[in-house]
Amino acid sequence: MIVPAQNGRPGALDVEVPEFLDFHVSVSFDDRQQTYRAGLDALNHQALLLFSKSFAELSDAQADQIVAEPMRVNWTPSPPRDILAEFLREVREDALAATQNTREYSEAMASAGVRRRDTGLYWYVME
Amino acid sequence: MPEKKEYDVLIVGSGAAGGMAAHTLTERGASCLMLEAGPLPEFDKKTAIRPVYDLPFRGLGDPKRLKHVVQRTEFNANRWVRETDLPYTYDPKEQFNWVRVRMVGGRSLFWARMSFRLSNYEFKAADHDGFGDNWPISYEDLAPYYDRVEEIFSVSGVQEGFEQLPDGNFIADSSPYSGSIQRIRDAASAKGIVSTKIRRSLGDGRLASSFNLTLPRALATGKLDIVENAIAREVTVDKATGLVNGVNYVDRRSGREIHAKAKRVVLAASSLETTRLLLNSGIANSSGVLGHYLIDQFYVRGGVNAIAPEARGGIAPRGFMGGSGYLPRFRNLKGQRQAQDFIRGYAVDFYSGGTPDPRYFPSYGAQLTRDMEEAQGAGMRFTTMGAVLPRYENHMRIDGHVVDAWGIPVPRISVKYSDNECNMARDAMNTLTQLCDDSGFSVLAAHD
Repeated sequence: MIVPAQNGRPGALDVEVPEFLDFHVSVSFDDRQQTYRAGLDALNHQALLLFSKSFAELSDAQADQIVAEPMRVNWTPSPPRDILAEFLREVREDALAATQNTREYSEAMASAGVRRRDTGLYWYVME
Repeated sequence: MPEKKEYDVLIVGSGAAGGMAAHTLTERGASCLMLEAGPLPEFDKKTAIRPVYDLPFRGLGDPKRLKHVVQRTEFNANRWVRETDLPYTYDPKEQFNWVRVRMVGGRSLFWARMSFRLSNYEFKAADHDGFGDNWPISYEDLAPYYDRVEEIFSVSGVQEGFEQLPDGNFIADSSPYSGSIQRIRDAASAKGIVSTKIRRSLGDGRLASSFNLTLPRALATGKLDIVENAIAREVTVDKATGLVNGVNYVDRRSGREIHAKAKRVVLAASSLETTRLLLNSGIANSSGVLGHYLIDQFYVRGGVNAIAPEARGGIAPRGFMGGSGYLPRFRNLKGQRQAQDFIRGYAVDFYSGGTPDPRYFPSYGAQLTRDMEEAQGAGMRFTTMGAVLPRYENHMRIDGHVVDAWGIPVPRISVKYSDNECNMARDAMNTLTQLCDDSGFSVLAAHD
């Protein structure tokens, strides 16, 4: 829903973003883990309140009802005060990068004739 | 072996200041020993072009590394020091970001190359607004040295005659301004704000660093020895004379403790590392001021992001997008009405082109993709660099409880911005938003 497959490009689910972020967050500093944990709790709380189901069981339309408003908040330098808005802002950025920075995404873009700048100068460990 | 010889001068640090000290001293015949805490960069062996999808963390980086390095990416993470090896402390409510490089060339290997002269608005600021102290030197004292440095670093720029941004020994920058940059310049000019090209060190094109510009000149004299992986622990003093006579250092790889002898010592290890070394050595602090009045300039990076409507959809008129510009300080100058809620001033660099970061769009899913495609190549971004007032209470001292991986006591840093900096930043955001509006650009996001 946040990064759907479209125009021949893979979406977040196609390139296992949930599994990747699960790992990435699990090895992060506590504050990031807390943002994710509190955000997921807030999503489930809203889902139970509005639809008596967990967030994962909602249809796309139902999920949209919960995330649309906090995701339309204009960007500010400080994180939003609302826990859900803060989490969604972070997860949107993470999910987008984790989707686009994959071989599958680059190949799909190349097939569509779009050259994506996906290389950089990598520094190996200095010993 | 360097430790067996007594040098005329020992230089700690091989970055911008250390490289220039080595060049200047060896040119005049002094024998110099340079201690650098890190290794040679070895670009050929240590770097490679790689696709982001080959990196272990998909470009998001190892999340437990480099909490304090705002420039970090997964590509460049290994060029900064390991914060676990080299910790520093602060009150958790006052996070301080300290960016460090330990390699021959130091941070001069990685900088934006902006090369501006200070003016008497900085050197004699107290005369102008009554706050703090003047520097003991004036712009006129320093100007001949700027001339020499600009020649070595090949600084490009436009001669403008601005009092707040003195001209220099430039390679003339005759490139035209793009249409979008000119639009901002015109809007600024209508408000009495002058603008120019960013003044930039071209170096040899590839690098503008001590590594390729000053150290090779010093080495060519045969008067400079560089010891890599040499971590300075303390400056040593001859008890009979009270004068410094060398430096104790640790070999980074073996942990061996070594003393290097010299008649003079130049500390060029960065403001904070140099201060740390002096404090750990227990010297040069009879005033008790060492470590106090800690200042940097504040940055609001990408403080305002906007879209040029003419370039939406990736189709801009030829020559309209691209390039950059610079607004030198325009607040609190002589003969102007002074700002009500802050003293001193700020400068702004601005760039045209590129696509704004997805974070600035209040959308998601398919709509975000459409928004991004629409804004492709149409971005305008502004960064503010503001003066910070020198205050005694902003300081670093030695933390008595924490040592680094080599057993050297680490700094504890305490820095807070005051209302002056906050009000200045607010004025910058308001002014830049207004300039975008006047130029017909839509502001996507501005810092508050």
